[in-house]
Amino acid sequence: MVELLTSALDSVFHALSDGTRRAILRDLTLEGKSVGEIARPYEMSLAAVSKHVQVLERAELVERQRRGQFQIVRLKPKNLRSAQDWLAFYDNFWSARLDRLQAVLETQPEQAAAPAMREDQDA
Amino acid sequence: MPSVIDTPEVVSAPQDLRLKLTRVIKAPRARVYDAWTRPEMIRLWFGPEGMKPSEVSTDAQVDGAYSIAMESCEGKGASKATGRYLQVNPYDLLQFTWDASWSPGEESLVTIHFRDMDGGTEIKLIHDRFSTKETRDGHNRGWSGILDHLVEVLEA
Repeated sequence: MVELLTSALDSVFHALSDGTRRAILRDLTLEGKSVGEIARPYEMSLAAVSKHVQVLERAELVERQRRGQFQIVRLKPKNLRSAQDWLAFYDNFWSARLDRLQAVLETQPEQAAAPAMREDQDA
Repeated sequence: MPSVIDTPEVVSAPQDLRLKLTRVIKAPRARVYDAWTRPEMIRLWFGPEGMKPSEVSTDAQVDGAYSIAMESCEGKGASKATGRYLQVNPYDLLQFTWDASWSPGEESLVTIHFRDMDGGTEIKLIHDRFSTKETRDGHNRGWSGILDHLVEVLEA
């Protein structure tokens, strides 16, 4: 079963709940960038972008590294993978159950019929 | 520290952080809905491969609790899912919190939409996490508001 650090995962999901932050992560896929470079495609202030980066940093999805006089923001994929693991786990979990539900309802109509009959069993 | 090389694959997925599954089942909507809310029906299907529900209880009303205990068929392991119903609209919508024994303390949210389709019922299942504490508290406020209202009505 999944064993994930709940508090860490909560911060990852929170960080990833925002479209701008997801876009920033995609921008960082190939190379680390400074906050200024990250901000360039967006119509928002450097401070706003910096805040988004901080949220990503707290979720440990990115890290800052000093390179000369600049700070470079880099992707830290480990927690991203945890979020994916969570989704993948429940994908399997529910798919298996829906398979079974479908089998039960479609092949055992008599057995699966609810005891309490309702009038509005419209198809 | 993982190398930069393995990152593109990792980033490709989280454009949407909710798990969404859709399934059409050839059965009337009321029966499909009942299969999610009535213990004797949940028992028929909720056990995955090698597991079977041992004890199921549901109080399918807003703020009502449910509990599904499962045990392995060989009697080796057991697990449990518990939670509370947040939205109960018979035959249309069911929403409940999800707290599984294999990830203690992690509460997430399951929403199921039921819809008539040609020859059957479409189930759309969404499983997501409370993305922020505020969302969770918002839900709490939602339930207590409804309960307060109910009490007012009943006691008037």
